[in-house]
Amino acid sequence: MRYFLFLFVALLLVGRNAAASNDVIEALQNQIYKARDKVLPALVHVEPVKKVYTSGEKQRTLVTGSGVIFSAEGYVLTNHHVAENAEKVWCTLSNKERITATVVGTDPSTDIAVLKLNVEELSDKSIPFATLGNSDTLHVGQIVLALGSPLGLSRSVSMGVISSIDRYFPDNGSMISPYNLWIQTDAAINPGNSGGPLISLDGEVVGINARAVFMAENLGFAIPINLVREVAQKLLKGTTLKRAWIGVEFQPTKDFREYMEFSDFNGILVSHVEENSPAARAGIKPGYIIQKIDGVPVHAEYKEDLPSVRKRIADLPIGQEVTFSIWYNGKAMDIKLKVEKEPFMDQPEFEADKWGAVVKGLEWHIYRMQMLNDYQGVYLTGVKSGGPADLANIRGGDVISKINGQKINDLKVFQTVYEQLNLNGDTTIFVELVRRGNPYFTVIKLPESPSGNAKQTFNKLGEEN
Amino acid sequence: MQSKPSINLEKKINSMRHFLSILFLLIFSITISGQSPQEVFKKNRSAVCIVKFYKNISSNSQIGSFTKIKQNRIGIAVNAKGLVMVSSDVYPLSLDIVSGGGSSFFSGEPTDFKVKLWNGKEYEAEFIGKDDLADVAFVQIKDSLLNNLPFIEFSPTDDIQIGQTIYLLELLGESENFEPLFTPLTVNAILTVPRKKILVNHYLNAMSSGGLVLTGEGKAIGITLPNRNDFSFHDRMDFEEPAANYLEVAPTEWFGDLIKNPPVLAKDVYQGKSWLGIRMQALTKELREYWKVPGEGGVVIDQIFSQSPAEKAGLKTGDVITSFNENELRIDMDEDLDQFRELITQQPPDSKITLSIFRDGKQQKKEVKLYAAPRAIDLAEKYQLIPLGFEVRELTHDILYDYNLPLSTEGVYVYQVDRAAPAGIGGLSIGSIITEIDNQPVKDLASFKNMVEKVLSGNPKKIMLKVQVRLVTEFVFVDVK
Repeated sequence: MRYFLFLFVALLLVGRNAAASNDVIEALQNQIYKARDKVLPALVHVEPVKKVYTSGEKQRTLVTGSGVIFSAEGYVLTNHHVAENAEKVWCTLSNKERITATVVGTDPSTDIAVLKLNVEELSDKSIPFATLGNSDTLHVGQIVLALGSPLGLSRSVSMGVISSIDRYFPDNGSMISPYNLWIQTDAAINPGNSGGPLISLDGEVVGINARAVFMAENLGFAIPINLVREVAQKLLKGTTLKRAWIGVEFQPTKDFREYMEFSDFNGILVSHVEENSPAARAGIKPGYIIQKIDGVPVHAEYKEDLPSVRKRIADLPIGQEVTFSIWYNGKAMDIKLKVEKEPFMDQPEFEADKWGAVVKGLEWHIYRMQMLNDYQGVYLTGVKSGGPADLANIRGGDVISKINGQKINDLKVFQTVYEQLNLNGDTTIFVELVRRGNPYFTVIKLPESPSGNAKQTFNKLGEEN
Repeated sequence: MQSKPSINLEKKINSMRHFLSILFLLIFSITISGQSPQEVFKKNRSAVCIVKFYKNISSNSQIGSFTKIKQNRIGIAVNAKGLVMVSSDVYPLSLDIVSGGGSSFFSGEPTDFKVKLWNGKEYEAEFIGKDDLADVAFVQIKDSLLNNLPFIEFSPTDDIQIGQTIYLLELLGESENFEPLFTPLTVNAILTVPRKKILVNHYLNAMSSGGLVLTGEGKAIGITLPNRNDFSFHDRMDFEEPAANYLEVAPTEWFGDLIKNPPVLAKDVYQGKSWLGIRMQALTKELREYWKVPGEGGVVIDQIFSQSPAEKAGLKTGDVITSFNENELRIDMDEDLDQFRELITQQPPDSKITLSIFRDGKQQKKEVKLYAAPRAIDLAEKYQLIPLGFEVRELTHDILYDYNLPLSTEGVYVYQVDRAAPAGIGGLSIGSIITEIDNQPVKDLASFKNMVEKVLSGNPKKIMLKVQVRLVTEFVFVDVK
């Protein structure tokens, strides 16, 4: 009897709780609808036709990504890795209308790109756009929605919470993110979600979804919208971002503090100084602690603090003198140096089709791998199997230092020399390479002109398609 | 009646004569054409023995501790006093920078050598030395009373011909109780470039390489080489080559002289192979035509290592070597560069060679005094910091050449790190160079040792190491508590 009474009370309680939670669920559901309705109309299914350079030749491929319109003029936010090298961009809006867009600018270091819809193609000229929120006020555990085209399935919505607001990824590998921490979410994010918005229940965009982890579940990463906004504004002024560079790498000071037994010691520990950099010339050395930049304190206790420090340096005025206040071995000193533009940014690629090779301006990973000591040169991203470069034993990763004795400083010089050789009809080209820090000599032999012309005609036909 | 038996006897004697003459003929024909396979086997069996030892693989548990793996190899007694020849893979560390033969950072030196003879007698033995280019190592039985052990004398292989019958005398593995394995085979191919090698078809797998190869006359002419199938990958995955499922035989010429004068691995005595000290590429037809180099091939110098014989002889990057001791080089593809390496390493250290050099459109002669290649990091002096979980070694030239660093670079090389110990947790990685401890520069291994001992005696909470990882510097903080 007592047992039944207990059961009855329990059922009552559950019923009451259920009624209460029904209300909560309904409120949440309505909030989700509201948020969805504010952003979904501005969601864009992005399909760029991209040039991709693989195995030493140019190919075209159609990829799928996502984007979000953020202004009445039809500007769209997406990822750099979606829009880079796009020859043509197709955008399908939420009303299923399909129009083209142009790439306004892209920034590889933050993986952000801005597109402009070709609004004249639209039947309805009133363009829905989403409001960009504030990513500094996000909380771990906050409910968010991810909108986009996972695996090409357009206009999909998924839900989750913010799992972390300060996820740090070391600055290496192909996916670099030196200047930002990441918003981590368990809302389902798959390939194709890239460039789509992560939104709060207020219906504001708080992040741009950019990464998922292969073979993992519920691990998605978004770029905080405050950084996106700043980069987008710069991209709207000019197509690329110029960043300042002093040639220094840092470590957080937590270990150093403990080692020195200084409990309140602020700054950043200089771990590496690049040769021939402004910092090296000014005498900055590994082991120095930078405490102030132009009088303003700078501090990185944990690795999560590094991106904002790197960003502060990247935002310094290029070409101007900046004062670094330094502590070293108990002594304080000020070092002034002139900040330069970062080398190797936005390196273009070029298909030397007659050689069966794709050439690109230098990048850091090649600079390091090939143990170079100046910031000049071009490298081969790929060599077409069986082509003249391949037959000359040239490999992907090789740096071209000279052609027929002429120094190749950058891709422009390379293109000029390459085109001149084509005009001259030269079929024997002497190339000096750098391979793992050592010279390597080779001669590229091109086929005599008739077959060369045939190939050119074929390529032209291909391009007109 | 009496004559009958005599006639019978005569008949018997006659038939006996007949038989004997056939027998003589038979014996005679065997002595000119060879011995019976059974005799070849019996005659040589007792010189083939088992070399037992432990391979030591660095264990995960602690720096300086090893996981021991029992190993057996076919050994061949090469003198009456218990010198046994075995495959060089018993010693997995590389000796100098031209020999190669090193396997990994995770191998220690092999230990507990024993030799078990055909008659079941087992002796303790010690490792004497190895020659990676000849693919042989030597161990010595530690029993001074031994002086009449059956052994093998190897013969030159000049008269070996394709189609000739040869015999392999090998051993089966432990699970077959090391029973002898005897296989008649045919010489299928004889390679001459980059050096002589005999190829034979192959039926049954023996316990290991190092098996004895005999002719029909019972002459020892070589040993079997490790199966190349184990390494059937290419540097570049862009061409195909059929799998090599034949057996390779190293002829006597590879190691014959070493038996008389075995290589000795005493760390302070070790003499490396001869080296020239260059990075090189082949003079391709295209380069030869472009530079208008006479001849049919050569070696292009890409880099000269500092303090090398090449540097001392005044060779330069871009020089083309067209002949070696007046013999024209015909190397026109990178795959053939081994031929040139072979020419150099076959020279005794401290010998003089003459190279023809093509430089700036002109030929010139250069006399180069060769000397021994620098010792490899595997043999370098070491220091293990077991509580902190890492091992450092003296910075050897091979590392500095590889990293393109000047030979004057100071510091110690991080050879091994225990990931779960303080140094590993602090982020120290294998292959980096420690250049400072607590802001004090590290000169060499001895100074590192002194500095560490001094620093640790002060009971610090943390030590700060400045390290160079390839071309980038960083700081590593190691918790000492």
